[in-house]
Amino acid sequence: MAKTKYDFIEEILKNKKINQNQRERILELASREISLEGTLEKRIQKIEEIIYNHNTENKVFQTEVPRNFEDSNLRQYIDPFNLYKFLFEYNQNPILRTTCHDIDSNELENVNKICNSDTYDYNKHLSKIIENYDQHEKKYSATRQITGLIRGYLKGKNKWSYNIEYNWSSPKLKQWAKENPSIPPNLNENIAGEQEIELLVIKPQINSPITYDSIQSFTQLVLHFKNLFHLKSGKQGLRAILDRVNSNKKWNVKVDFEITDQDFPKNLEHFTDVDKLIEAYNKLIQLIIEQCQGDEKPKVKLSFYEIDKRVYLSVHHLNGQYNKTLQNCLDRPYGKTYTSLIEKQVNGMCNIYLKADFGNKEYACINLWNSKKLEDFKLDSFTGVEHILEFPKIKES
Amino acid sequence: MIYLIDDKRTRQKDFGWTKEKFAQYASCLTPLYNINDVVNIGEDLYNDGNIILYHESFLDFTGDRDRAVEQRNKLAGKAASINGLSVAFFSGSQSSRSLDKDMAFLPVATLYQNLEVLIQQYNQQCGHLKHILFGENPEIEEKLNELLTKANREIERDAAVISGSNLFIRPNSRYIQNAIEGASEEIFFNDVSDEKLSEKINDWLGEREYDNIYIPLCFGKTLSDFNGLRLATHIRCTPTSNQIKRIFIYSFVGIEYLYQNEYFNILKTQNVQLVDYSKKAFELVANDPFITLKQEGLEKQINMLKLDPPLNYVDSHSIANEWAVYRWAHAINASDNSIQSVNQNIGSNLYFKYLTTIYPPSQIAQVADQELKINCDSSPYILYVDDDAEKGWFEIFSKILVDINDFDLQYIDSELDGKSQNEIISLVSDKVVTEGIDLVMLDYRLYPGDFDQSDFHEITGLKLLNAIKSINPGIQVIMFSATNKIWNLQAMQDAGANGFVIKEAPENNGDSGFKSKSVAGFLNLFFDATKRIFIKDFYKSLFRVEENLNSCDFEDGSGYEGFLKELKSQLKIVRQTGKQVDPKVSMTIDVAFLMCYNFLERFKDYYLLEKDYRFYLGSKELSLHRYQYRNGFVINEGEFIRDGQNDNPSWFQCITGLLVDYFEVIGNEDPTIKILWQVKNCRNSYIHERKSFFSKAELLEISNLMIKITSAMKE
Repeated sequence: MAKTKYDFIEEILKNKKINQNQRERILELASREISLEGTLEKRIQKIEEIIYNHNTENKVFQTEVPRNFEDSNLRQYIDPFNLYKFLFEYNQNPILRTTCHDIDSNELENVNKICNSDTYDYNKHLSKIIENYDQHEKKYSATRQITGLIRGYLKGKNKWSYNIEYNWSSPKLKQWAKENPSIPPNLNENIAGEQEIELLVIKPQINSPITYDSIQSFTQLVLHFKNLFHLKSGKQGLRAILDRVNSNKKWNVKVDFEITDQDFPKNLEHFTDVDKLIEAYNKLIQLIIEQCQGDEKPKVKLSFYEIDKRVYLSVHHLNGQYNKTLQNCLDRPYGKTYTSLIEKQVNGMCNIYLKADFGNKEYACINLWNSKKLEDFKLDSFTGVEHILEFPKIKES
Repeated sequence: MIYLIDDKRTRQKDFGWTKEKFAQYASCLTPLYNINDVVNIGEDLYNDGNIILYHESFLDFTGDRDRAVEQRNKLAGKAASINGLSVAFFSGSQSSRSLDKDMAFLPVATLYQNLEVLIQQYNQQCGHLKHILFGENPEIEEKLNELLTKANREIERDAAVISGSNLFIRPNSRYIQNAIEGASEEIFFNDVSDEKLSEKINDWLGEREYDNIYIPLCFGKTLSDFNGLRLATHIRCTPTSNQIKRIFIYSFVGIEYLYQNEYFNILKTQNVQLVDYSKKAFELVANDPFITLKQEGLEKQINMLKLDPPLNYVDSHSIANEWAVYRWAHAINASDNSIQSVNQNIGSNLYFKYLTTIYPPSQIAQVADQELKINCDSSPYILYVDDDAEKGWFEIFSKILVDINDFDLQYIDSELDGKSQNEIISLVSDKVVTEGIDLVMLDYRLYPGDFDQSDFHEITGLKLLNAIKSINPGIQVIMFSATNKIWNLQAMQDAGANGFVIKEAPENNGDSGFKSKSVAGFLNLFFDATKRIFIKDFYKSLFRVEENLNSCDFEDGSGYEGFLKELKSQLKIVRQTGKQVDPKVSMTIDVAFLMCYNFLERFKDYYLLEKDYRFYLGSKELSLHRYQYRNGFVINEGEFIRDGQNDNPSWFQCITGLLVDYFEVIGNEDPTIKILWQVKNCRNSYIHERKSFFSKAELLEISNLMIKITSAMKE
């Protein structure tokens, strides 16, 4: 395949011999070449996006709506639907789904059929996985953090989530597969137990920050991978995850939480970057604690719900008041915390709205980060400060 | 109804749910494999009390996917709105179990593992979803799961450093990694049966000696089984080079969880200790001072366990049966495949291992072949009836009765399977008659229903005993059973049982001589029984007499009718005395003989008439002849004409006259007359105390005379 200009830029930037001065010149030239405007940082970001997602013309998303925040260093808006779509379709792909489920006889039949093999063949399976993933990346898009992580999980070379060295292509797994021919490495644990098969041991064990389970086998690792992107029920549900976070981070000591079954069902499913979601949640709780004045313990109501193909997580500080006026907020919406939150967690994962009592009997909802221009929607009345994370499951029209 | 909605048929087999198993629960479990089956049930699917188990990815990657998703969403809505409808969603990517009111989420493997428990609870009106999540004891199982997760999460990273040679045993998942530096590590998978534990102990502990053995409290599919206690008991009851070594059971729960466990007492024994789930704790306990357990002290320690027989046996009789086979076979040195299979079970089943540790085989007294000889002069036909015959007993009895004593032994075993009680009785009775069986060894419980039968009169063995005795009370029946209940034995004795062989129950092991006594008792019973086999022939004669009397039965109000009735009454008495016959008590034969003689005397009383100093026989008034028996010859001296007032016909002359002249059943040279003569003489000798008892042969002879005399009776 002929190299594109993006390949060329990528190669030069990756060359370790270039110095800082040369690097800036390349970026300047590259920005001219692709006619970008804006601050240097914005241009660099754009180039990064283009480089890492360089076959954009085939992709289904690419709906970034430029938001004009001259006073902000925030990146370009990334539609969070893309992440949902990327993960959802990954889970629907008959071969890729085998990398996030354990394997029983039925699943094994499917794998063998796809691999055109009578018995399980790890190498064929892996080759199909990589082939399917490469196509998946071409068809759908996600941030480079996500694609990098999944590549690490499937293709190896780099450590992936929590610096885990075990992956579908790791030498240890290959060795295990040699010693256990015809056995899928992510065989259902119960079946493995019945057949007295020792699955590849993950050593030292990884303690999942999502489910708090200890991951000790490759099958458990595969299920852990799924937990990184799929909110389900029980331990894998957001309610249970946040319960554990509140306990582990001792939020529940500092905050009085109001969490009801009605407002926060335990089994609402969603595909997203669960780690990032937890990070975002922690930042919001931290913000509430920091902004809380006086001796009164913050009261926070958590809600998780789905309306019209959009999933929402609401963190509502019931006894709080926003610490800026509405006008101040509109003038300079992104302080250090929001910038960091949007930059590192929210952008590409979800939209975020602020609904608050701004004092002086001013109540409003502000679309802090979505595809639209920032504006306020006045409310007749509102109590407290509510941050709403919006996870669209449909594409914005 | 429980509906299982899962299109993945193949994996159902992975988890042991075969077609046959589904069929077994068809009355309360309906598996559904396609969307049309689900839709066709309509709103009945959501009936109050129903449980729906739904595969989250039902029909994914098929054309019906959208309909399946729609159905799933509908189900979730229904579960939320209908009280009493329970729904569980299961998935291959679900790694945890959760329950929210009437809706559960769980992994596929957990669903199929606990489905049977759910069905059982459902049938007992306790079909709560918690059972599909956590099995039989959901509350404790859930708690244990939480604690185990926490314990594994918090475990120290560095390995424990413990001197000496250490063995660390762990489960295949959710375990302590890098536990003890340099320790050997072994793994238990799902199979935690006694057989598997025994196999692994022999493999792992058979040769290499360890100073310390660390075993998990929880392994296998069900944490609350606390299999570590059972494993520790196994180790102590398995003769290996590590049988008496220190055992540390590492646990993430305290001892208070374990009080109800049947193997709890192992923790009271020497050098078995519960240890915290921590590598630091492993180090500390290993360094604790301790007193080495000596081999000679083991029996005392194991005695402290006080184990009960396992509940998975049909009943305690099955245990007694296997235990007795093992002990008998060992005592008489019998062996075949069936006995080897019993021995294998004795070697792996923990309860038996416990028994053999307390009562080692070395204590069983050996019985030499020559001691198994039964000195008798007959060779009886023996039938052994026992549904457990092929589990070792037939081989044991074959050795004693066939190999050593050359008797004819047949048995009925598997032919009894699946038969009703009446069919069993009929089958055995027919065999007894057609094969001319002399002696039956009969198991007390032959029919599955016998184990739940509280009325002992309804037990098959007792009914069959009655049936055999009604065929012929002389057929010897030795009851063979594990029952030691006095009322059962009493009922069998009342029904005519000729002896009892009690399968040795483990509680009788305290008597070290019990085994040799059991074998000797068995041989004595057989010896006595063979001596009584003639009674069967005696009864055969009496039955023929009865037939004869019945054949000339008529009602005319005459004296002859009265005579026949009188004979029948006398016959009843004879039969009753027959039941009391015991060769060891000669008087019992004497009574029977004299009753037979009385029977014959009735003939003289009825048929002999005196008229004008002459004697006639019967209504035909046939002249009585003066028969004599001298020097082996019958002499007819012609018509009996009185020589004087004291010259009266004798019993011999009268009966001979009836047999030869009146009934014409024998000629005057028939050897019967000689027998008649001998019977008369021995009776007179007995009466005049020149003879002290009658023999078996004499009893049979007089009974044969009874047949002859009744064979062609007339008025």
